[in-house]
Amino acid sequence: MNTKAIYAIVAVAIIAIAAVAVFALTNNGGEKDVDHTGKSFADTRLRIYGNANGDDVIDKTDVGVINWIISSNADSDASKHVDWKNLYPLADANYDGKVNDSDAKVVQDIIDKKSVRMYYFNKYERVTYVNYPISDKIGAEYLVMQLLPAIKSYGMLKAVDDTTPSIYNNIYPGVDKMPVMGTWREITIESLTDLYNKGVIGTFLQWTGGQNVDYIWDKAEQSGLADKMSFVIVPCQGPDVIQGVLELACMLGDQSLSDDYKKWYDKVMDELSAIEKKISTGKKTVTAVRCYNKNVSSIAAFGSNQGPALWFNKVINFQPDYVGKTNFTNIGSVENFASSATDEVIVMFQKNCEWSEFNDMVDEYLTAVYKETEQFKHERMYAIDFEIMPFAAGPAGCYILAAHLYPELFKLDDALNFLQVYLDDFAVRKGADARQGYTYTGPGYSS
Amino acid sequence: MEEQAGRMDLARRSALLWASEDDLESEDSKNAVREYHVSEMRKLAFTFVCIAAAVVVAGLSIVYGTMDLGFLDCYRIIWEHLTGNIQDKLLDYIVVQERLPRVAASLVTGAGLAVAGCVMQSVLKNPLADPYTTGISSGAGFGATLAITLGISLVGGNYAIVVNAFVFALVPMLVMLGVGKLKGASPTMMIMAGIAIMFIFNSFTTVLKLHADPDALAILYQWTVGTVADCKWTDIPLMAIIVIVGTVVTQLLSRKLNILATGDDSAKAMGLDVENMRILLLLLISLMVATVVSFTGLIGFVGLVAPHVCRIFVGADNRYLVISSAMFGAVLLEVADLVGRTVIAPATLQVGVVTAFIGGPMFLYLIMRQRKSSW
Repeated sequence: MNTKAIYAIVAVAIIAIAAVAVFALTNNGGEKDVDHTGKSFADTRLRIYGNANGDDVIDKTDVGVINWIISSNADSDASKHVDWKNLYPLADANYDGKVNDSDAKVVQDIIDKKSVRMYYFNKYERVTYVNYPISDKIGAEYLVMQLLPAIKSYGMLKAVDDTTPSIYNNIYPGVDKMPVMGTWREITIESLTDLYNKGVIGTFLQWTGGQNVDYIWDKAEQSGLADKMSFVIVPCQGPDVIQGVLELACMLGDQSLSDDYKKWYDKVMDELSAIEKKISTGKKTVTAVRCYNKNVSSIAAFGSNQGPALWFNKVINFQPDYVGKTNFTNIGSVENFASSATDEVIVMFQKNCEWSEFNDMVDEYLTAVYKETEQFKHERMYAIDFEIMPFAAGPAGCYILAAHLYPELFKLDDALNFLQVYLDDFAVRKGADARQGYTYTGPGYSS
Repeated sequence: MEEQAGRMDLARRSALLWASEDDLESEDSKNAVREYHVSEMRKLAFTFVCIAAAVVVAGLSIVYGTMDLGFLDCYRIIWEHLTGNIQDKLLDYIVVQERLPRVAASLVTGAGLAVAGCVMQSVLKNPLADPYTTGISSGAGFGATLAITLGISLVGGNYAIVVNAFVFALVPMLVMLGVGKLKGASPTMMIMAGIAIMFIFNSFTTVLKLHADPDALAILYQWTVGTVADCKWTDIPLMAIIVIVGTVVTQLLSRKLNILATGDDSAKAMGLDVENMRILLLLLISLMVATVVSFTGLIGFVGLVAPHVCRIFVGADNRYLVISSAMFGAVLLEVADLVGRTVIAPATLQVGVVTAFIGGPMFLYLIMRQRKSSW
């Protein structure tokens, strides 16, 4: 074989290899690239239409799934058709009841951060939409605003409701100087339009804790304001808080914003799962009470459906007398408490105080209300603050509680380390020491 | 003979009051007639002023809100809506779907509560009587609390609270009717029964509140202080029909109300079926009040204060008092709502809070200058 022939063969080989490489790099829809396992809707944390495979991000694999569904359902062999409505319900990115090229384009637009209407399954189990990417000028209602520090975007908060400053001006600095959207859960289309027209906010983050209903979406849609502003109605309480964090970051057009919190959340949840396995046969039954003021008559217990309780369920059984009720059950006196409460008691506080004041405050309140009880005398009352429980810091609070209740199984130090990571990385106020506040380390109790 | 002469003189003097001054013989008679005509004209004028004020206040209320839309722009938006030529969907929504229903609801509710208060004060001969003295508000409050805290309601969906409030608001009236039939429908008996029912329902409501979580309590608070913010156009027709019909019927019965106000014995002497008339009137106003409070929650003071203010100008003559109370009540509640949504905008002060702020001092003032002759 002469030299020219060899050169020709080598050139052809190089071209062929290059062609294969180009084909491999640019091919998004090959069947071998698609994860067909999908995820059940119940397990999906990012319930945004376009997240075809149900994982925690919207990316090109979702485009692959959509294209695979399209090609499968175009096949003449019906056995190859995909029941996407049940298996991949979020593949219908434009929520028109069909999966076709339009859906793939929507997902591609999301990846490319182009403006598009983004449909999602909101907290009230309705499909609503936002104008993706949503504006980073956010007006947030009472407490749902804590999703913003979780994605390290507290600076996006531009307006609040009128309740927040009085309760949380300590925890969220600057809220008392922000424009007010209106009265909590009574915010009107008019007030939002006014702030939108003035350029103050472009996104409304609606409070979704507790038992309130979706009071504004229908009005937003009917008035046309939903076409201008984005109404974000995502979970913010209990274990579902991760859904809110992931969805908010995705809607903002930067899914990496939720990476750190997701990592922290998943790590702590793994620890909690290990806890649940270890104590599955021996979960303690505990009384959970609130301690919002020093009046004995205000002693009230809560069960497994309350906001704070959404986390506690992982490590305890609630006292059966209060389970199944969605409201606080008034106990009303030390006598009633002493005669009915379990040996160990969780005490929930909701106080707008400085970090360093928390333990002193707990001392003061518990002494005023529970001083004569056996639980107090035998150091069986575990205080935890509303700020970290039931919201984004909930996993850490839960771990701390487990460490108190099952000291032979879990180390309090490990739990406090988790909380410290949260306080350092996600809390708005900086410089907090997990060992100083949020766990009861007052007189007579071990730290 | 003397008695007959006295009656003839009374009849003659009464007739003279309707006579033209020119037909009268003495200067005293002429002055009396002149004063009577002036008094009648004053009452009519006050009534028309109230009607005009209601129109003006309603017209201005539409213009004011969180957004500064301008007087002409607001009415242009309404005109465009009526002619089907909507230019800005969002502004149309704000004016026509958010502001206008509030204005309409305030007018209707204020009128209904005021008429109810007027009737109650006449029927029960008690200056402190208002729609809530019969336990109507307590019954409505209990029904709403049941729906909000426990989710127990006669219907589901968006009207759970409304239907509960309406049905339970009528329960006190049924109890009072029963008491009236058993014990006789005297004013004292009615008030005592109403107060008893009020305490019963309030105690049940308190028990439910003790077990409520903070979110439910917040919703309940908003309802119990009263608000017109939640009224939609779909709610207004029912409220309006009941209130208008109730007011018209009350106005038609105003002469009988006047007779009733003279006392049970005199009324019976004049041929009036006192007990049944009392029951009929209370039933009528209970229906009116139950209808409005089921949509707006409990708005206090309007039913108490409006009739008293009107009595200063029109006296106790129900022929003028009913309609002027209705209009004044509409004005009062409209002003209260306007103040509530503008004074701390964009936050809102509930209309029931504002009526208490306005009504309390007003009532004190009325007490200080109250003339016994007008009550």
